[in-house]
Amino acid sequence: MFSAELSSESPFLCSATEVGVHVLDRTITRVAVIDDVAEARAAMGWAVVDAGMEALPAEGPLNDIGSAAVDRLLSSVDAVVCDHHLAYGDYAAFSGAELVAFCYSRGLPAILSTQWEKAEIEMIRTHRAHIPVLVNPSFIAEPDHLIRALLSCVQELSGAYASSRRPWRTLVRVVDVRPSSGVVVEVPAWQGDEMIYLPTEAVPPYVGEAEVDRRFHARVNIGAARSEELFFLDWEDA
Amino acid sequence: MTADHIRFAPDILRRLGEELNPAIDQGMLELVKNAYDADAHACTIELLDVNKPGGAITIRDDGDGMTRAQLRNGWLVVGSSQKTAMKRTALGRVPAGTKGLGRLAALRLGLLADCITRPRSQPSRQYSLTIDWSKFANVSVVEDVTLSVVSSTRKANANHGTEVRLRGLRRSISRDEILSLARALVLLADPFDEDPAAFVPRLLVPEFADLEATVSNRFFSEAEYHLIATVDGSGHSAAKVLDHRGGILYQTKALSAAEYQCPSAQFDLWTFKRTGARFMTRNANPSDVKSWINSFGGVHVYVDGLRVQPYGNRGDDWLQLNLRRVRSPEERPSTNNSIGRVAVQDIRGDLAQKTDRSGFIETRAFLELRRFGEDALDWMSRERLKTVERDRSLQRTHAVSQSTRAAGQLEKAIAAVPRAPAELGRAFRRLERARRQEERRLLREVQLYRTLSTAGITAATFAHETDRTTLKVMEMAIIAVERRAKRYVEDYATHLEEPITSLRNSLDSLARLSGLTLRLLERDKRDIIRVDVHDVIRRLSADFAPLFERRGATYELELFGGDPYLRTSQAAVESILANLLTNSLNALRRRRQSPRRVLVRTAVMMPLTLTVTVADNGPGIIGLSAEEIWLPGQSTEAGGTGFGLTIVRDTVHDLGGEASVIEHGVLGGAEFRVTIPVLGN
Repeated sequence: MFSAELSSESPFLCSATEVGVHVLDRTITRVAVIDDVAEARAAMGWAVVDAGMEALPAEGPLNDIGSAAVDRLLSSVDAVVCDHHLAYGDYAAFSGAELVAFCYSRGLPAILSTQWEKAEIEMIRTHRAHIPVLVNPSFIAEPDHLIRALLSCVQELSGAYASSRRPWRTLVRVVDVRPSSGVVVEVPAWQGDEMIYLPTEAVPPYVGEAEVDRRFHARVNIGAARSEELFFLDWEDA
Repeated sequence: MTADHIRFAPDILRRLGEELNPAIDQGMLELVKNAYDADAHACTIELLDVNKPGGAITIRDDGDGMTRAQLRNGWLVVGSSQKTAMKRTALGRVPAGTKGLGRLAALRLGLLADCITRPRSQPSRQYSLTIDWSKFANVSVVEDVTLSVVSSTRKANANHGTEVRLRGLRRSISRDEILSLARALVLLADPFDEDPAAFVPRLLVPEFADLEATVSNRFFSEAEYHLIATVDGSGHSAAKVLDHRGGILYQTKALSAAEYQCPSAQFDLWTFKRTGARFMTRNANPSDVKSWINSFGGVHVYVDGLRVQPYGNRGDDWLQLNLRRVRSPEERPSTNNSIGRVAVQDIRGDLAQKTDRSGFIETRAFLELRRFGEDALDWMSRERLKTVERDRSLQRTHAVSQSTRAAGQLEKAIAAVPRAPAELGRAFRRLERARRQEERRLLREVQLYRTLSTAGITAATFAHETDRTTLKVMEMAIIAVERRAKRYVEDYATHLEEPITSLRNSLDSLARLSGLTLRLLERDKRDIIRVDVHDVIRRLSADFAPLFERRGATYELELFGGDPYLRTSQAAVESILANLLTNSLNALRRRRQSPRRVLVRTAVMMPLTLTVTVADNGPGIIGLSAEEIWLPGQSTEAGGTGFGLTIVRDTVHDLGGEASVIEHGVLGGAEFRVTIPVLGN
């Protein structure tokens, strides 16, 4: 149940009352655009506007995730589009992954954009369970894709998980240990044949110190098509 | 109620035997280990007509032999062993043979297996048994085949021992399998120790004599360094490094603050000085040492006197010598300039081998043993580096003054010679100029290496600010321009479509290219893992595809069927291929006419080696010889760094392989060939 009404007039000329899209039971009018680079905020803003919504580029510094500035920002918008790398300069003291997960806890639809380098995926995995949509920025530069991404967020927040996102309790086996760095695991119930590297920070200590062949149970979204989408929750000894 | 039993279909013999132990040498080694456990001194394996099916193998030993009861309750029982690690033999050996699955595989190599045994405890008796495997095809359970142990009187001159004969071999045995068996036999019972009462297995084929001589040559005294590290039963460690005269260079009372949770062990490593492909020796012939290291280099593991495979096999680097060397090449041993052994006394049986004999189960005890070995290597390297840095620093300080002083002394000496010909002075000055030029060249080379490294570090560190963010903004901007232009500009197709499409395509290309450097630098690519070589080649080929497109070159990939793999880092394999591809692309700049072609081809040979060929139709190797092309700083390209091929050569050597070049190869241009040992296909 999805409807999207884009203004037929040039978005540059719409008044505020004619701006917004209906996504399920929500109306998304204002979208915060969060990126540490001003030009990138502006560029993402064009996609938001062309999709029929109002873009609110977030000027820094945003400081901590629990700061008043962040709270004011999130309280004044209906959705968030956020880049992952925010902490290179003094723009923010948190990553985009952390912020999107925070928005999730507040029931606020938030999209994380990143260019999918491997090291990023490992860092993001810790929060992946609370990041409904993770996309390349050029993908959501197309308004249709942006709206669909927002739909996915709203659906998950209302409890309707996509099959690639629903977690299931399943067996996880340690297949390799990289001392002081992390573990490599396999998820037999997952369709893919890749092993997944989990840095020490992303797992409980007893998993990070496990020996090869040790088995655990965890809740994993085994319907995911790619290993980058997998997340692991609620670890238990098998 | 009836008495019933679990019974086994004859197919279980194949599953437990040849399927679980497919490598012929593993089964044969199990028979040899039976001889070791029987306190044999000599054990021979004779091969007869094995180059075709139907041949025979005979294994004879002079051990304790078996009584009828031992034959019945031990040798004929598969899956259980009468030996325990705790109970040593009369000669004090810890029994090595265990469940008999390897023996089963060996016995099933032929259609018939005979066992004739003469027990030491019964000097007049001999027992014999023949197993005809074809009989098992006609029964429904294994137990339905009756085997008869025949007792007879032993001949007066027949000594105790056992002879196992495998007749009617189901297949031929290749030369490579024989070589592999020969090597395994030579290394089986710790050839590093000089024990006159040692167990000596021998293989009666001509190749074996060569290999045996190679080990017995013992070039340990030619080693530059000898590392000796020990860990006792309580986990306390110590280590020292000796020079070639046996003098202690460095020592430590503890390699690690934490005790090692492994059995007691001693790790010996002999490291030889090598410059390129040539060993630097004092007394021995360098090519003999090279041949010896090629055959037996690497770190082998001996548990209670017997070798455990695959540690130290060609292509195996369980202590990551080669990875550590790639990360910091100075003063690091590698598997092609070192030979070593970790001798373990596993009294408690903490180390368990996998059933298929492919190494130890990676229990804590094994992981700690490995940590002990790695820590010893790291400690030695740190000590060596300290010495080298100290020497280098002193050299730098004194080099200039020494050089100036020497030059001054020589000038004075020339001047003091009565009626010294003017030509002598001029010759000396020419020599001085040449020496200073060489010095400047070397300094420039060092600076270039530092600059390249700095460029890489800077690119990786500031990727976010430079190409990543800029490209992201450009991509999103052009998408917005295209979208709005289509909506609001009349005749978009006529006036704007082509330039905007061109811009998008260029950005797309640029985005793919910009990620290449960072992808090469990904941290986990430097981890030692099982690397599927074809996977790495395919991924790197995809990364290079836009570069080939830009240069108007076609890229042909011909991968041999199968998935060759080895234990190394992805970074090592990538650095070989990336540098060869870059070299080809540079060469093709000098080719005027199309098509410009680059071919990458792989092939797998036995014994398991992978050959990667990179050929192009550029001008070939001109101006440098096939040997010079690999030297650092040598380049035929204006502005070339001259390091790419040096990196290829060094990386290939670290993997235990060889690199070669044909000046004008299959496509007419240069053809580079890299051959490396792999673990499997």
